[in-house]
Amino acid sequence: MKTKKATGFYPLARHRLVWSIVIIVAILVTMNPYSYQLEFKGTALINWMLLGIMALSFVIILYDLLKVEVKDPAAVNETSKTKEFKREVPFTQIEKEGEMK
Amino acid sequence: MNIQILPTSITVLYLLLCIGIGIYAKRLEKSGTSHEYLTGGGGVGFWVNGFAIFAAFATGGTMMGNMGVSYAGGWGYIMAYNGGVAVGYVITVFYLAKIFRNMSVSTVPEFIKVRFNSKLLNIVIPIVLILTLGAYVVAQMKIGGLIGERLLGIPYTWSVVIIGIVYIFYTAYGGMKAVTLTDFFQGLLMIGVVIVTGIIALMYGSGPIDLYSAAQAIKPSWTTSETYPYIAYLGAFIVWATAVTVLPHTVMRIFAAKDEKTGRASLTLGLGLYIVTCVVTLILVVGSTMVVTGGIALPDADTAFLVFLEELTPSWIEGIAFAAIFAAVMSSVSAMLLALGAAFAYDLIGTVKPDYPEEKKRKLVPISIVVFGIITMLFAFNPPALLSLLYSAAMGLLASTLFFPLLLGVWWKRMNKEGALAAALSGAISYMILFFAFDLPALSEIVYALPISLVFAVGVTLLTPEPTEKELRRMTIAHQREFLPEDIEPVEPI
Repeated sequence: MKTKKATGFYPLARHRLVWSIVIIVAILVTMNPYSYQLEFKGTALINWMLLGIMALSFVIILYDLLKVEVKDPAAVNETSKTKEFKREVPFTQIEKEGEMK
Repeated sequence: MNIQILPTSITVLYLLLCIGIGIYAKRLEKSGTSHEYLTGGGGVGFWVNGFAIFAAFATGGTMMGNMGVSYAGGWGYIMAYNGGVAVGYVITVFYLAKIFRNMSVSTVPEFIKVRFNSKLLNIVIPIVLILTLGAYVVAQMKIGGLIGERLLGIPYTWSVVIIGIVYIFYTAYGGMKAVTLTDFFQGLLMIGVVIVTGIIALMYGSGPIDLYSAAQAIKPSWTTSETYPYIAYLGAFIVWATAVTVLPHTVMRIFAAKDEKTGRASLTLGLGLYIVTCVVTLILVVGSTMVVTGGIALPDADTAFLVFLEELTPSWIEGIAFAAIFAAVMSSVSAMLLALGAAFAYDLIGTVKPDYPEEKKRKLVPISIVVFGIITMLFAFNPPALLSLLYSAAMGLLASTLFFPLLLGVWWKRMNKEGALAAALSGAISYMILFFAFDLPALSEIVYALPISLVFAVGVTLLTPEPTEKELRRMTIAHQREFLPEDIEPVEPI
Protein backbone atom coordinates (compact mmCIF):
# COMPACT_ATOMS: atom_id res chain seq x y z
CA MET A 1 0.00 0.00 0.00
CA LYS A 2 1.35 3.41 -0.91
CA THR A 3 2.13 5.67 2.08
CA LYS A 4 0.18 8.92 2.12
CA LYS A 5 2.40 12.00 1.75
CA ALA A 6 1.93 15.27 3.59
CA THR A 7 1.95 18.58 1.75
CA GLY A 8 0.86 22.18 2.34
CA PHE A 9 0.71 24.16 5.58
CA TYR A 10 -1.18 23.72 8.81
CA PRO A 11 -4.07 26.20 9.10
CA LEU A 12 -3.56 29.51 10.91
CA ALA A 13 -6.29 31.55 12.61
CA ARG A 14 -7.46 34.44 10.41
CA HIS A 15 -6.89 37.14 13.02
CA ARG A 16 -3.31 35.97 13.50
CA LEU A 17 -2.70 36.14 9.77
CA VAL A 18 -4.13 39.67 9.62
CA TRP A 19 -2.07 40.85 12.62
CA SER A 20 1.03 39.24 11.15
CA ILE A 21 0.56 41.28 7.98
CA VAL A 22 -0.02 44.44 10.04
CA ILE A 23 3.19 43.98 12.00
CA ILE A 24 5.21 43.10 8.89
CA VAL A 25 4.05 46.36 7.29
CA ALA A 26 4.92 48.25 10.49
CA ILE A 27 8.39 46.67 10.46
CA LEU A 28 8.94 47.57 6.81
CA VAL A 29 7.93 51.18 7.49
CA THR A 30 10.18 51.33 10.56
CA MET A 31 13.27 49.41 9.51
CA ASN A 32 14.08 51.21 6.27
CA PRO A 33 16.90 53.63 5.37
CA TYR A 34 14.55 56.64 5.25
CA SER A 35 13.33 56.21 8.82
CA TYR A 36 16.95 55.72 9.79
CA GLN A 37 18.07 58.99 8.18
CA LEU A 38 15.12 61.23 8.99
CA GLU A 39 15.09 63.15 12.26
CA PHE A 40 12.33 64.75 14.29
CA LYS A 41 13.50 67.44 16.73
CA GLY A 42 16.99 65.99 16.85
CA THR A 43 15.88 62.39 17.34
CA ALA A 44 16.09 59.78 14.59
CA LEU A 45 12.62 58.82 13.40
CA ILE A 46 13.54 55.14 13.60
CA ASN A 47 13.99 55.50 17.37
CA TRP A 48 10.38 56.60 17.96
CA MET A 49 9.06 54.06 15.48
CA LEU A 50 10.87 51.26 17.27
CA LEU A 51 9.07 52.29 20.44
CA GLY A 52 5.88 52.10 18.41
CA ILE A 53 6.75 48.57 17.25
CA MET A 54 7.16 47.49 20.87
CA ALA A 55 3.82 48.98 21.86
CA LEU A 56 2.09 47.47 18.82
CA SER A 57 3.53 44.03 19.59
CA PHE A 58 2.22 44.18 23.13
CA VAL A 59 -1.25 45.27 21.99
CA ILE A 60 -1.37 42.47 19.41
CA ILE A 61 -0.54 39.64 21.77
CA LEU A 62 -2.88 41.09 24.40
CA TYR A 63 -5.69 41.14 21.82
CA ASP A 64 -4.84 37.59 20.82
CA LEU A 65 -4.94 36.50 24.44
CA LEU A 66 -8.31 38.09 25.14
CA LYS A 67 -9.89 36.90 21.91
CA VAL A 68 -12.12 33.87 22.43
CA GLU A 69 -11.00 31.08 20.11
CA VAL A 70 -13.57 28.91 18.40
CA LYS A 71 -11.95 25.88 16.85
CA ASP A 72 -12.35 25.71 13.10
CA PRO A 73 -13.66 22.24 12.16
CA ALA A 74 -12.00 22.58 8.75
CA ALA A 75 -8.65 22.78 10.50
CA VAL A 76 -8.96 19.22 11.78
CA ASN A 77 -7.21 16.69 9.60
CA GLU A 78 -9.72 13.89 9.22
CA THR A 79 -7.07 11.28 8.52
CA SER A 80 -5.30 11.76 11.83
CA LYS A 81 -6.26 9.61 14.78
CA THR A 82 -7.38 12.51 16.92
CA LYS A 83 -9.20 11.72 20.10
CA GLU A 84 -11.80 13.81 21.84
CA PHE A 85 -10.29 17.09 22.99
CA LYS A 86 -8.79 16.84 26.46
CA ARG A 87 -7.04 19.47 28.47
CA GLU A 88 -6.10 19.56 32.12
CA VAL A 89 -7.66 22.95 32.69
CA PRO A 90 -10.34 24.21 30.28
CA PHE A 91 -9.56 27.70 28.97
CA THR A 92 -13.05 29.09 29.23
CA GLN A 93 -16.48 27.60 29.03
CA ILE A 94 -17.18 29.47 25.82
CA GLU A 95 -14.04 28.17 24.21
CA LYS A 96 -14.86 24.65 25.27
CA GLU A 97 -18.30 24.90 23.72
CA GLY A 98 -16.75 26.22 20.54
CA GLU A 99 -14.48 23.20 20.31
CA MET A 100 -17.35 20.76 20.79
CA LYS A 101 -19.41 22.18 17.94
CA MET B 1 26.90 53.85 58.74
CA ASN B 2 29.46 52.96 56.09
CA ILE B 3 27.82 53.24 52.68
CA GLN B 4 29.05 49.75 51.77
CA ILE B 5 27.60 47.93 54.79
CA LEU B 6 23.91 48.32 53.99
CA PRO B 7 24.10 47.33 50.29
CA THR B 8 26.33 44.40 51.21
CA SER B 9 23.90 43.21 53.91
CA ILE B 10 20.95 43.42 51.53
CA THR B 11 22.81 41.47 48.87
CA VAL B 12 23.95 38.76 51.29
CA LEU B 13 20.36 38.45 52.55
CA TYR B 14 19.19 38.14 48.97
CA LEU B 15 21.70 35.39 48.18
CA LEU B 16 20.66 33.43 51.28
CA LEU B 17 17.01 33.77 50.27
CA CYS B 18 17.80 32.31 46.84
CA ILE B 19 19.44 29.30 48.49
CA GLY B 20 16.39 28.91 50.75
CA ILE B 21 14.02 29.03 47.78
CA GLY B 22 16.11 26.38 46.04
CA ILE B 23 15.82 24.04 49.04
CA TYR B 24 12.07 24.73 49.32
CA ALA B 25 11.57 23.99 45.61
CA LYS B 26 13.35 20.67 45.97
CA ARG B 27 10.84 19.66 48.68
CA LEU B 28 7.96 20.36 46.28
CA GLU B 29 9.27 17.75 43.83
CA LYS B 30 6.76 14.93 43.27
CA SER B 31 7.73 12.36 40.66
CA GLY B 32 11.45 13.12 40.44
CA THR B 33 11.50 12.47 36.68
CA SER B 34 13.62 14.36 34.15
CA HIS B 35 10.44 15.92 32.74
CA GLU B 36 9.48 17.31 36.15
CA TYR B 37 13.03 18.48 36.81
CA LEU B 38 13.24 20.31 33.46
CA THR B 39 9.71 21.73 33.29
CA GLY B 40 8.82 22.10 36.97
CA GLY B 41 5.98 19.63 36.50
CA GLY B 42 4.10 21.85 34.06
CA GLY B 43 1.88 23.46 36.71
CA VAL B 44 3.21 27.01 36.93
CA GLY B 45 0.53 29.72 37.06
CA PHE B 46 0.18 33.06 35.27
CA TRP B 47 1.79 35.51 37.70
CA VAL B 48 4.70 33.32 38.72
CA ASN B 49 5.45 32.29 35.13
CA GLY B 50 5.00 35.84 33.78
CA PHE B 51 7.44 37.38 36.25
CA ALA B 52 9.77 34.42 35.75
CA ILE B 53 9.75 34.94 31.97
CA PHE B 54 10.51 38.62 32.48
CA ALA B 55 13.30 37.86 34.95
CA ALA B 56 14.83 35.17 32.77
CA PHE B 57 14.80 37.36 29.70
CA ALA B 58 15.69 40.67 31.35
CA THR B 59 19.29 39.80 31.98
CA GLY B 60 22.20 41.52 33.56
CA GLY B 61 22.63 42.79 30.03
CA THR B 62 19.27 44.51 30.25
CA MET B 63 20.07 46.07 33.59
CA MET B 64 23.61 47.14 32.68
CA GLY B 65 24.86 46.15 29.23
CA ASN B 66 21.94 47.71 27.35
CA MET B 67 22.31 50.91 29.33
CA GLY B 68 26.01 50.85 28.43
CA VAL B 69 25.19 50.64 24.72
CA SER B 70 22.57 53.38 25.09
CA TYR B 71 25.07 55.63 26.89
CA ALA B 72 27.89 55.01 24.43
CA GLY B 73 26.06 54.59 21.13
CA GLY B 74 22.58 56.13 21.48
CA TRP B 75 19.26 54.78 22.71
CA GLY B 76 17.89 54.09 19.23
CA TYR B 77 20.35 51.32 18.44
CA ILE B 78 19.63 49.42 21.62
CA MET B 79 15.91 50.01 21.02
CA ALA B 80 16.37 48.08 17.76
CA TYR B 81 17.36 45.11 19.94
CA ASN B 82 14.27 45.55 22.03
CA GLY B 83 11.90 46.16 19.15
CA GLY B 84 13.16 42.84 17.83
CA VAL B 85 12.51 41.23 21.20
CA ALA B 86 8.90 42.44 21.14
CA VAL B 87 8.34 41.08 17.63
CA GLY B 88 9.99 37.84 18.72
CA TYR B 89 7.34 37.51 21.42
CA VAL B 90 4.62 37.95 18.80
CA ILE B 91 6.16 35.20 16.65
CA THR B 92 6.42 32.95 19.70
CA VAL B 93 2.83 33.52 20.78
CA PHE B 94 1.29 33.32 17.31
CA TYR B 95 3.35 30.56 15.75
CA LEU B 96 5.12 28.45 18.35
CA ALA B 97 3.75 28.55 21.90
CA LYS B 98 0.62 26.48 21.42
CA ILE B 99 2.29 23.84 19.28
CA PHE B 100 5.32 23.52 21.53
CA ARG B 101 3.08 23.13 24.54
CA ASN B 102 0.81 20.62 22.80
CA MET B 103 3.78 18.54 21.67
CA SER B 104 4.39 17.58 25.34
CA VAL B 105 8.17 17.84 25.09
CA SER B 106 10.65 19.20 27.63
CA THR B 107 13.28 21.00 25.54
CA VAL B 108 13.79 22.63 22.13
CA PRO B 109 16.09 19.83 20.89
CA GLU B 110 13.48 17.31 21.99
CA PHE B 111 10.98 19.08 19.76
CA ILE B 112 13.45 18.83 16.88
CA LYS B 113 13.90 15.16 17.67
CA VAL B 114 10.21 14.24 17.62
CA ARG B 115 9.53 16.38 14.55
CA PHE B 116 12.44 15.31 12.34
CA ASN B 117 13.84 12.11 13.87
CA SER B 118 17.38 12.87 12.61
CA LYS B 119 20.36 11.71 14.64
CA LEU B 120 22.77 14.19 13.05
CA LEU B 121 20.39 17.09 13.69
CA ASN B 122 20.05 16.01 17.30
CA ILE B 123 23.79 16.19 17.73
CA VAL B 124 24.26 19.52 15.91
CA ILE B 125 21.47 21.41 17.72
CA PRO B 126 22.57 20.64 21.32
CA ILE B 127 26.18 21.51 20.42
CA VAL B 128 25.12 24.89 19.00
CA LEU B 129 22.98 25.47 22.10
CA ILE B 130 25.87 24.65 24.41
CA LEU B 131 28.25 27.03 22.59
CA THR B 132 25.85 29.95 22.30
CA LEU B 133 24.30 29.69 25.75
CA GLY B 134 27.81 29.31 27.15
CA ALA B 135 28.79 32.68 25.62
CA TYR B 136 25.57 34.20 26.94
CA VAL B 137 26.27 32.95 30.45
CA VAL B 138 29.83 34.32 30.40
CA ALA B 139 28.52 37.77 29.44
CA GLN B 140 26.05 37.68 32.33
CA MET B 141 28.68 36.62 34.81
CA LYS B 142 30.87 39.57 33.93
CA ILE B 143 28.09 41.79 35.20
CA GLY B 144 27.90 39.85 38.44
CA GLY B 145 31.64 40.23 38.84
CA LEU B 146 31.54 43.99 38.20
CA ILE B 147 28.78 44.50 40.75
CA GLY B 148 30.53 42.47 43.41
CA GLU B 149 33.76 44.35 42.80
CA ARG B 150 32.06 47.69 43.29
CA LEU B 151 29.77 46.62 46.08
CA LEU B 152 31.84 44.33 48.24
CA GLY B 153 35.23 45.73 47.36
CA ILE B 154 36.55 42.25 46.68
CA PRO B 155 38.39 41.18 43.52
CA TYR B 156 36.27 40.66 40.40
CA THR B 157 37.18 36.96 40.29
CA TRP B 158 35.93 36.27 43.82
CA SER B 159 32.74 38.11 43.11
CA VAL B 160 32.08 35.83 40.12
CA VAL B 161 32.79 32.79 42.30
CA ILE B 162 30.43 33.84 45.11
CA ILE B 163 27.36 34.46 42.97
CA GLY B 164 28.30 31.46 40.81
CA ILE B 165 28.18 29.09 43.76
CA VAL B 166 24.72 30.33 44.76
CA TYR B 167 23.00 29.98 41.40
CA ILE B 168 24.74 26.76 40.48
CA PHE B 169 23.52 25.33 43.79
CA TYR B 170 19.86 26.21 43.50
CA THR B 171 19.65 25.39 39.78
CA ALA B 172 21.28 21.97 40.11
CA TYR B 173 19.45 21.15 43.34
CA GLY B 174 15.91 22.28 42.56
CA GLY B 175 15.70 22.23 38.73
CA MET B 176 13.09 24.28 36.87
CA LYS B 177 10.88 24.62 39.96
CA ALA B 178 13.68 26.33 41.88
CA VAL B 179 14.63 28.41 38.85
CA THR B 180 11.02 29.53 38.35
CA LEU B 181 10.42 30.43 42.00
CA THR B 182 13.69 32.33 42.31
CA ASP B 183 12.98 34.01 38.96
CA PHE B 184 9.56 35.12 40.22
CA PHE B 185 11.11 36.67 43.30
CA GLN B 186 13.93 38.17 41.21
CA GLY B 187 11.44 39.54 38.68
CA LEU B 188 9.52 41.33 41.44
CA LEU B 189 12.74 42.81 42.75
CA MET B 190 13.87 43.94 39.30
CA ILE B 191 10.65 45.64 38.27
CA GLY B 192 10.51 47.35 41.69
CA VAL B 193 13.99 48.77 41.16
CA VAL B 194 13.19 49.80 37.59
CA ILE B 195 10.15 51.78 38.74
CA VAL B 196 11.96 53.41 41.68
CA THR B 197 15.01 54.39 39.60
CA GLY B 198 12.68 55.73 36.91
CA ILE B 199 10.98 57.96 39.47
CA ILE B 200 14.37 59.15 40.78
CA ALA B 201 15.49 59.94 37.23
CA LEU B 202 12.33 61.96 36.65
CA MET B 203 12.74 63.83 39.94
CA TYR B 204 16.34 64.69 39.01
CA GLY B 205 15.19 66.54 35.91
CA SER B 206 12.16 68.79 35.68
CA GLY B 207 10.03 66.13 34.04
CA PRO B 208 10.71 63.69 31.22
CA ILE B 209 10.79 66.25 28.39
CA ASP B 210 13.26 68.57 30.11
CA LEU B 211 15.42 65.63 31.12
CA TYR B 212 15.43 64.28 27.58
CA SER B 213 16.25 67.71 26.10
CA ALA B 214 19.07 68.25 28.58
CA ALA B 215 20.67 64.89 27.79
CA GLN B 216 20.21 65.51 24.07
CA ALA B 217 21.90 68.91 24.34
CA ILE B 218 24.87 67.38 26.17
CA LYS B 219 25.33 64.54 23.67
CA PRO B 220 23.32 64.92 20.42
CA SER B 221 24.50 61.53 19.15
CA TRP B 222 22.54 59.90 21.99
CA THR B 223 19.28 60.55 20.14
CA THR B 224 20.40 60.30 16.51
CA SER B 225 21.34 57.23 14.50
CA GLU B 226 24.83 58.30 13.48
CA THR B 227 26.90 56.00 15.72
CA TYR B 228 25.88 52.72 14.08
CA PRO B 229 25.18 52.09 10.37
CA TYR B 230 21.71 51.19 9.13
CA ILE B 231 22.66 47.56 8.56
CA ALA B 232 23.62 47.24 12.25
CA TYR B 233 20.15 48.45 13.26
CA LEU B 234 18.58 45.94 10.93
CA GLY B 235 20.84 43.15 12.17
CA ALA B 236 20.16 43.89 15.84
CA PHE B 237 16.42 43.88 15.17
CA ILE B 238 16.47 40.60 13.24
CA VAL B 239 18.81 38.87 15.71
CA TRP B 240 16.42 39.42 18.59
CA ALA B 241 13.19 38.95 16.65
CA THR B 242 14.37 35.48 15.73
CA ALA B 243 16.48 34.58 18.79
CA VAL B 244 13.62 35.12 21.24
CA THR B 245 11.63 32.45 19.46
CA VAL B 246 14.34 29.81 19.82
CA LEU B 247 15.87 30.71 23.18
CA PRO B 248 15.51 27.56 25.27
CA HIS B 249 15.22 29.37 28.58
CA THR B 250 12.21 31.30 27.28
CA VAL B 251 10.62 28.46 25.31
CA MET B 252 10.94 26.07 28.27
CA ARG B 253 8.61 28.41 30.22
CA ILE B 254 5.84 27.47 27.83
CA PHE B 255 6.40 23.84 28.78
CA ALA B 256 6.39 24.86 32.47
CA ALA B 257 3.04 26.70 32.28
CA LYS B 258 -0.14 25.21 33.72
CA ASP B 259 -1.70 25.10 30.26
CA GLU B 260 -1.21 26.59 26.83
CA LYS B 261 -3.23 29.73 27.46
CA THR B 262 -1.44 30.38 30.74
CA GLY B 263 1.80 30.09 28.77
CA ARG B 264 0.66 32.75 26.31
CA ALA B 265 -0.67 34.98 29.09
CA SER B 266 2.66 34.68 30.89
CA LEU B 267 4.52 35.70 27.74
CA THR B 268 2.25 38.75 27.45
CA LEU B 269 2.95 39.77 31.04
CA GLY B 270 6.66 39.15 30.54
CA LEU B 271 6.71 41.37 27.45
CA GLY B 272 4.76 44.16 29.21
CA LEU B 273 7.24 44.24 32.08
CA TYR B 274 10.13 44.13 29.64
CA ILE B 275 8.83 47.12 27.66
CA VAL B 276 8.45 49.19 30.84
CA THR B 277 12.00 48.25 31.80
CA CYS B 278 13.40 49.26 28.40
CA VAL B 279 11.75 52.66 28.28
CA VAL B 280 12.65 53.52 31.87
CA THR B 281 16.24 52.31 31.83
CA LEU B 282 17.34 53.20 28.29
CA ILE B 283 15.80 56.66 28.14
CA LEU B 284 15.09 58.01 31.63
CA VAL B 285 17.92 56.45 33.63
CA VAL B 286 20.57 56.82 30.92
CA GLY B 287 19.34 60.36 30.16
CA SER B 288 19.79 61.43 33.77
CA THR B 289 23.19 59.67 33.91
CA MET B 290 24.18 61.66 30.85
CA VAL B 291 23.25 64.89 32.64
CA VAL B 292 25.15 63.85 35.79
CA THR B 293 28.36 62.92 33.98
CA GLY B 294 28.18 65.68 31.39
CA GLY B 295 28.27 63.02 28.69
CA ILE B 296 31.94 62.13 29.17
CA ALA B 297 33.11 58.77 27.85
CA LEU B 298 33.18 56.26 30.73
CA PRO B 299 36.16 53.88 30.98
CA ASP B 300 33.65 51.03 30.74
CA ALA B 301 30.28 52.08 29.34
CA ASP B 302 28.65 49.04 30.95
CA THR B 303 29.01 50.78 34.31
CA ALA B 304 26.66 53.64 33.38
CA PHE B 305 23.91 52.31 35.69
CA LEU B 306 26.37 52.00 38.57
CA VAL B 307 27.32 55.65 38.09
CA PHE B 308 23.62 56.56 38.23
CA LEU B 309 23.13 54.60 41.45
CA GLU B 310 26.21 56.02 43.12
CA GLU B 311 25.42 59.60 42.18
CA LEU B 312 21.65 59.82 42.50
CA THR B 313 20.28 57.24 44.92
CA PRO B 314 20.48 56.85 48.71
CA SER B 315 22.50 53.89 49.97
CA TRP B 316 19.50 51.70 50.84
CA ILE B 317 18.10 52.02 47.32
CA GLU B 318 21.57 51.44 45.95
CA GLY B 319 21.73 48.22 48.00
CA ILE B 320 18.40 46.97 46.70
CA ALA B 321 19.39 47.94 43.15
CA PHE B 322 22.63 45.99 43.47
CA ALA B 323 20.58 43.01 44.63
CA ALA B 324 18.27 43.54 41.63
CA ILE B 325 21.23 43.47 39.24
CA PHE B 326 22.43 40.30 40.90
CA ALA B 327 18.87 39.03 40.46
CA ALA B 328 18.93 39.90 36.76
CA VAL B 329 22.20 38.05 36.31
CA MET B 330 21.23 35.03 38.38
CA SER B 331 17.71 34.63 37.01
CA SER B 332 18.99 34.49 33.45
CA VAL B 333 22.08 32.44 34.14
CA SER B 334 20.21 29.86 36.20
CA ALA B 335 17.59 29.42 33.46
CA MET B 336 20.32 29.15 30.84
CA LEU B 337 22.36 26.72 32.91
CA LEU B 338 19.30 24.52 33.19
CA ALA B 339 18.92 24.66 29.40
CA LEU B 340 22.65 23.91 29.00
CA GLY B 341 22.43 20.91 31.33
CA ALA B 342 19.35 19.68 29.49
CA ALA B 343 20.99 20.17 26.08
CA PHE B 344 23.93 18.02 27.14
CA ALA B 345 22.58 15.34 29.46
CA TYR B 346 19.02 15.04 28.19
CA ASP B 347 19.34 15.79 24.47
CA LEU B 348 22.91 15.06 23.39
CA ILE B 349 23.47 11.97 25.55
CA GLY B 350 19.92 10.86 24.82
CA THR B 351 20.76 10.91 21.10
CA VAL B 352 24.23 9.40 21.25
CA LYS B 353 23.08 6.70 23.70
CA PRO B 354 19.38 6.10 23.04
CA ASP B 355 19.26 3.28 25.62
CA TYR B 356 20.71 5.41 28.40
CA PRO B 357 18.36 4.83 31.38
CA GLU B 358 16.00 7.62 32.38
CA GLU B 359 17.14 7.41 35.99
CA LYS B 360 20.80 7.93 35.05
CA LYS B 361 19.84 10.75 32.68
CA ARG B 362 17.98 12.46 35.51
CA LYS B 363 21.10 12.24 37.69
CA LEU B 364 23.35 13.45 34.89
CA VAL B 365 21.42 16.71 34.31
CA PRO B 366 22.34 18.35 37.67
CA ILE B 367 25.92 17.10 37.34
CA SER B 368 26.23 18.70 33.91
CA ILE B 369 24.71 21.91 35.30
CA VAL B 370 27.49 22.04 37.91
CA VAL B 371 30.18 21.27 35.33
CA PHE B 372 28.92 23.90 32.85
CA GLY B 373 28.54 26.36 35.71
CA ILE B 374 32.19 25.93 36.65
CA ILE B 375 33.43 26.06 33.03
CA THR B 376 31.55 29.28 32.25
CA MET B 377 32.76 30.72 35.54
CA LEU B 378 36.35 30.11 34.45
CA PHE B 379 35.70 31.84 31.11
CA ALA B 380 34.09 34.76 32.93
CA PHE B 381 37.34 35.49 34.76
CA ASN B 382 38.66 37.23 31.64
CA PRO B 383 35.63 38.36 29.57
CA PRO B 384 35.48 40.75 26.59
CA ALA B 385 34.10 44.31 26.73
CA LEU B 386 30.61 45.46 25.64
CA LEU B 387 28.48 42.64 26.95
CA SER B 388 25.42 43.24 24.83
CA LEU B 389 27.40 42.79 21.64
CA LEU B 390 28.97 39.54 22.86
CA TYR B 391 25.78 37.77 23.78
CA SER B 392 23.87 39.23 20.87
CA ALA B 393 26.47 37.74 18.50
CA ALA B 394 25.92 34.37 20.18
CA MET B 395 22.18 34.80 19.81
CA GLY B 396 22.67 35.58 16.12
CA LEU B 397 24.34 32.23 15.66
CA LEU B 398 21.59 30.47 17.59
CA ALA B 399 18.84 32.13 15.56
CA SER B 400 20.60 31.51 12.23
CA THR B 401 20.79 27.84 13.12
CA LEU B 402 17.40 27.16 14.67
CA PHE B 403 14.84 29.70 13.46
CA PHE B 404 13.79 28.16 10.17
CA PRO B 405 14.03 24.50 11.22
CA LEU B 406 11.66 25.36 14.08
CA LEU B 407 9.25 27.69 12.32
CA LEU B 408 8.98 25.69 9.10
CA GLY B 409 9.01 22.46 11.09
CA VAL B 410 5.92 23.60 12.96
CA TRP B 411 3.94 24.97 10.01
CA TRP B 412 5.13 23.43 6.74
CA LYS B 413 4.07 19.80 6.44
CA ARG B 414 6.49 19.27 3.55
CA MET B 415 9.51 20.20 5.68
CA ASN B 416 11.69 17.14 6.22
CA LYS B 417 14.80 16.27 8.19
CA GLU B 418 17.12 16.85 5.23
CA GLY B 419 15.76 20.37 4.81
CA ALA B 420 16.00 21.06 8.53
CA LEU B 421 19.58 19.84 8.68
CA ALA B 422 20.55 21.89 5.61
CA ALA B 423 18.89 24.98 7.12
CA ALA B 424 20.64 24.53 10.47
CA LEU B 425 24.09 23.87 9.00
CA SER B 426 23.94 26.55 6.30
CA GLY B 427 22.67 29.13 8.81
CA ALA B 428 25.34 28.29 11.39
CA ILE B 429 28.26 27.98 8.96
CA SER B 430 27.44 31.12 6.97
CA TYR B 431 26.98 33.11 10.20
CA MET B 432 30.38 31.99 11.53
CA ILE B 433 32.16 32.66 8.22
CA LEU B 434 30.66 36.15 8.08
CA PHE B 435 31.47 36.76 11.74
CA PHE B 436 35.09 35.62 11.69
CA ALA B 437 36.22 36.25 8.10
CA PHE B 438 34.54 39.56 7.27
CA ASP B 439 34.65 42.92 8.98
CA LEU B 440 30.91 43.55 8.97
CA PRO B 441 29.05 46.03 11.21
CA ALA B 442 27.98 44.61 14.57
CA LEU B 443 25.25 41.96 14.35
CA SER B 444 24.70 42.43 10.62
CA GLU B 445 25.80 38.85 9.83
CA ILE B 446 22.29 37.55 10.40
CA VAL B 447 20.92 39.74 7.62
CA TYR B 448 22.72 37.39 5.21
CA ALA B 449 22.82 34.14 7.20
CA LEU B 450 19.08 33.88 7.78
CA PRO B 451 18.05 34.12 4.09
CA ILE B 452 20.76 31.56 3.26
CA SER B 453 19.26 29.22 5.86
CA LEU B 454 15.78 29.75 4.34
CA VAL B 455 16.97 29.03 0.80
CA PHE B 456 18.64 25.80 1.93
CA ALA B 457 15.60 24.80 3.99
CA VAL B 458 13.20 25.16 1.07
CA GLY B 459 15.56 23.97 -1.66
CA VAL B 460 16.78 20.80 0.05
CA THR B 461 13.30 19.95 1.30
CA LEU B 462 11.85 20.14 -2.20
CA LEU B 463 14.69 18.01 -3.60
CA THR B 464 14.24 15.22 -1.05
CA PRO B 465 11.28 12.96 -0.18
CA GLU B 466 8.23 14.31 1.68
CA PRO B 467 7.59 13.15 5.23
CA THR B 468 4.72 10.70 5.56
CA GLU B 469 1.56 11.52 7.49
CA LYS B 470 2.62 8.90 10.00
CA GLU B 471 5.84 10.82 10.62
CA LEU B 472 3.80 14.00 11.07
CA ARG B 473 1.17 12.41 13.31
CA ARG B 474 2.37 13.99 16.55
CA MET B 475 2.69 17.39 14.90
CA THR B 476 -0.78 17.10 13.39
CA ILE B 477 -2.26 16.22 16.77
CA ALA B 478 -0.38 19.13 18.40
CA HIS B 479 -2.05 21.55 15.99
CA GLN B 480 -5.42 20.40 17.33
CA ARG B 481 -4.90 19.51 20.97
CA GLU B 482 -2.37 18.38 23.57
CA PHE B 483 -0.45 15.22 22.73
CA LEU B 484 -1.34 12.68 25.42
CA PRO B 485 0.59 9.67 26.75
CA GLU B 486 -1.93 7.28 25.18
CA ASP B 487 -1.14 8.82 21.77
CA ILE B 488 2.43 7.53 21.89
CA GLU B 489 3.24 4.84 19.36
CA PRO B 490 6.35 2.61 19.45
CA VAL B 491 9.35 4.77 18.48
CA GLU B 492 11.17 3.82 15.31
CA PRO B 493 14.96 3.68 15.65
CA ILE B 494 16.83 6.73 14.32
